[in-house]
Amino acid sequence: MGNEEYTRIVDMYYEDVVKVSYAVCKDIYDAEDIAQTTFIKLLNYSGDFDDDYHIKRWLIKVAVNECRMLWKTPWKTKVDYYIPEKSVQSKGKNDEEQLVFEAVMSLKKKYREIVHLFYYEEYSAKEIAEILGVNENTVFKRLQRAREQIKTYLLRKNSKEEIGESRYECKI
Amino acid sequence: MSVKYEDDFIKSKYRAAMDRTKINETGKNKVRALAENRELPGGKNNATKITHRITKTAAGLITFICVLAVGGGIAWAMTVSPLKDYFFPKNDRTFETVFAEANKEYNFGDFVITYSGYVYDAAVGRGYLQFDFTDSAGNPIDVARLLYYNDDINFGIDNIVLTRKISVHGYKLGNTDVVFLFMNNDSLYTIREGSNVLVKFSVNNEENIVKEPVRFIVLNKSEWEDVLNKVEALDEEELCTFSYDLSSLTPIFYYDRNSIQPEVAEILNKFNPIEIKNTTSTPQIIEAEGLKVTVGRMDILFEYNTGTCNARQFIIKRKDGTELIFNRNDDESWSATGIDKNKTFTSGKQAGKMVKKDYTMGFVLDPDEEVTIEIN
Repeated sequence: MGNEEYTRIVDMYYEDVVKVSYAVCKDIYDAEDIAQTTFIKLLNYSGDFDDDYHIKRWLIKVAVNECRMLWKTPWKTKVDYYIPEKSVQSKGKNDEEQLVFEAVMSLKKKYREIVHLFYYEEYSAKEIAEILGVNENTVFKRLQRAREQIKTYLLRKNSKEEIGESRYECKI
Repeated sequence: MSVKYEDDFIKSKYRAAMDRTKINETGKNKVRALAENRELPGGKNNATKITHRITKTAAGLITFICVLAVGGGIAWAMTVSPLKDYFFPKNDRTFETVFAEANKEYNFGDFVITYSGYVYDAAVGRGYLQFDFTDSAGNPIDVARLLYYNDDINFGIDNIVLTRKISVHGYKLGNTDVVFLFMNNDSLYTIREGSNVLVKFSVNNEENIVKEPVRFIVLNKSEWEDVLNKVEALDEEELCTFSYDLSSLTPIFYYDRNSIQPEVAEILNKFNPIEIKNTTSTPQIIEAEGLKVTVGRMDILFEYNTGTCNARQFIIKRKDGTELIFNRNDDESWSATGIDKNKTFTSGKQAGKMVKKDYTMGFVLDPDEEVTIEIN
């Protein structure tokens, strides 16, 4: 891969790689490190890509795997924390976004990665299954559980903070 | 209850939140710049690659040599150098000897201990075990840190008689399992479970004392100071019941007359420092109402016949105004009040017989201090 091609790919997908890493790691600084590692791997990769779409999927797959490696380190196995990126912490009109973001971040790692790939990257269950190396049914199952947990989180927050009521419809 | 929510809502809000996440441009530029520094096959980059490998090899070699040198240095220091004794103290400096034979010298190379056996001191009316420490030339030496105990845990160090001599009074301690002893040029201090001094060892059993195996263990400095640190944390009440597991200590001979640190001395000063000189001050004796009371510098002996003694109380008054009051109970037990805490003697209920009782807990007079003894 030539330098120009590489630079083009970095410009196109760097942010996507950081974001998927952030979604999995919950730490923007870890996410940036992982993105760097991912692109170093791209530089050293000798295989061929069909198209840009293929490259992006490859980058995301590598990034997710790097996140998993990071989570196997002794520190990460003992410590779980979420460092919100400053721009996401803002209040006011973005309260709903913040709440949903917090709801996603409160999920387990295996649910967070699927939610991000499904909602943000808009991959299909089949593509997610391929990226994560899991069964397609597993993706559906995890997605379903993730939705339920997000819903529970939002309802709990909703009852406390009385925001976004119009978005939720409750039948008793 | 069922809940319905909009999937699109989560999607749009999550996307919006994630889109607002600011990505550090510096990080992106660093990643972009990776391509410029990478090693491409062929051309002049090969030279860079080879140079890099050579550099890495040289660095590895230097590291290896350094590790070898440091390791070798440590090995030399521990085995050959003059410092080796620091790492591996000589075995002959570690000793644990049974002193069983009186009037015998025990030679440990750089010092000699002479065990004189049981010595009866008529002035205070009791005996003690005596050990003299000298160097190989016969010069008296001071023992800085000394720990004494015996197998049967029957003895404790009660007090000290002479400089450069360790004298062990034959007192049987109740549950005391270890006694710490600390000596410097001028003073020697004991830390003991003083409240458990129960029975004075009979002077008639002198032979038994001499046959009793006695061990000396001198602790290394760090372990001793560790013990002192523990002692320092105790208040006076806790100190009375303080004991220490001897098996956790390493018996290594250690003495250094100049090594007593002021802070250590300060700690020990809290626990009835006993000056060595003038320890054989003349006992003060008074007899009235059929009761004979002998007050030594560190002990009180009272004798009476239960059939003829009318005294119910005696009081020892010191010049500083403090009093030690002994009250005779109906069951022939005695209660002592006025020093560390109230104390009741439960032994010696021999009605109609001669009773001798001894009391030492916390009682230390200044050298040649005179007291007033009052019998009521």
